[in-house]
Amino acid sequence: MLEITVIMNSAVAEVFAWKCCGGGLPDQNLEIQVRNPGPLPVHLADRFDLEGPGERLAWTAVCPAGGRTIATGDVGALYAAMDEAVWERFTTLVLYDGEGKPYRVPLLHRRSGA
Amino acid sequence: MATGIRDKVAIIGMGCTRFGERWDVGAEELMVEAYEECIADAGIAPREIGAAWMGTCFDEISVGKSALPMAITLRLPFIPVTRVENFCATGTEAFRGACYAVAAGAYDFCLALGVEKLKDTGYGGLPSFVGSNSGSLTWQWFPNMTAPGSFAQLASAYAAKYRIPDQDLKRAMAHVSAKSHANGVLNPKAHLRKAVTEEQVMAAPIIAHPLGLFDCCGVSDGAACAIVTTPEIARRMGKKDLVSVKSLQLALSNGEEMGYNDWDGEHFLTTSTASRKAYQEAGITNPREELSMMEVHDCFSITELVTMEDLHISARGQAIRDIMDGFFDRDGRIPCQVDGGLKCFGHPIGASGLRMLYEMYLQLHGRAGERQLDNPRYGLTHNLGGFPSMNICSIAIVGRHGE
Repeated sequence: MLEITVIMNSAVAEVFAWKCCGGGLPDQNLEIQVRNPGPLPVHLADRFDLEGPGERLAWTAVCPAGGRTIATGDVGALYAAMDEAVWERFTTLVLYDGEGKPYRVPLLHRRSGA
Repeated sequence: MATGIRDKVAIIGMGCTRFGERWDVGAEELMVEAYEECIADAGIAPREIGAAWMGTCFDEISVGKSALPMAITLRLPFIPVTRVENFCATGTEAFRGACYAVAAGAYDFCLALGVEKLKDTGYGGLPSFVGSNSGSLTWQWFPNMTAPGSFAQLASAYAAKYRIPDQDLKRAMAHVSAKSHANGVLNPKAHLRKAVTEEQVMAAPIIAHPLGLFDCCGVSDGAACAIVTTPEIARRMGKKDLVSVKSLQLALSNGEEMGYNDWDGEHFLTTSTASRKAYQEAGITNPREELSMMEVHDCFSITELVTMEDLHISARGQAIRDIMDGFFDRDGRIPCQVDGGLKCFGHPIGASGLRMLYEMYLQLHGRAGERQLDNPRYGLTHNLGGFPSMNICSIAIVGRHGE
């Protein structure tokens, strides 16, 4: 099982914007932090779904492209540019591993991230 | 017999711009911004400045060659103005020139200013500078290298030598970065002013293993400035609680790191040498006990970590323990990067050395606001220009005059 923390309006957006301005990574304000306490590495796909009342949205503009492999005991994150108005329509984020297995995370809609 | 610089030069004024992506201004406005704060602080007229030193590294971008950009921008009164450049030690080189000129008795008041305007390139990192102007052997020694790549090698060599597990090293580096971000929150002139957690640092994308995004500093626009004189003149001006220069040392690689087998790539020969000389010049026998604060060259988290050992503050292989014990945190024994460091205050190459001295100066005068430390005595600044295998290290120690 993965430990997933979702941070909207994360402080990392400013660092991405400053350090990666040549890489086309503005406004990466959504941080999805994932810890892998399990015995095997997990590859996270570069996509997630958002679910809300009567609505489902597939989100594919996720950094890093190609997803990310999280080693045992390690922590890694995915990032996305997310409009707050869109974000607040949804109550669940569904992350996928490389084999398509879903990981559901309830959203708390905390406006300010760590 | 040389007696060194200790207490021969007083800093009577300093200024520093807000660092960042300063799209709103050019290099000229940055120079003016730092200079106006500095000369108002010094309380002298521009005509009293006898000579000036200007530091800029990438003169090709936004500044221009020679010292004329500063002489013209500041309307300096037809005085000697010298442009210096020594990679990331450039700002401290300008300061060194001004200090030695005063100490030699050549001038009563000297000005040192560092400026860099890099963000106009639209690129996150530094422009390439390792061309033929770095020396004729440069291309043979590192034909294809990046800064994150070479400092990642430093991290790997350090971990291998001291048998440090990857996660332990990453956690310590994350602490280094999280600490600087926490300090940057308190600095209104810092480029980045948001706190991040160690978890966020460790979760960030890898740039060059084991260095992640937060382990690497970016580059900024900015300028910083100092005016120096002799302590005797400063006292005659009515200045009290003088901040004086205790030590100025510089060490440059000589090819030994790259050309022979003795160096195992896990520390900086230059820093280790320069710091010993700096302590001797300043009369410091136990830096771990006597230093009050530091600003070191945290171009990468691993640089700061290893530097603690090369400054002879942490024992070899023990910097991780000191870092995780909070020894270098703002409330620790020797606070480091109190102003946010390169990582959060920012890194306009030619200005960084003077920016570090600016923080020491504010702290020693009790003017550092929310981040003020309790009764600091000696402050050390450290710049490292270049790569682990070939670099320029400058160290300055300042403190209250006569103490």
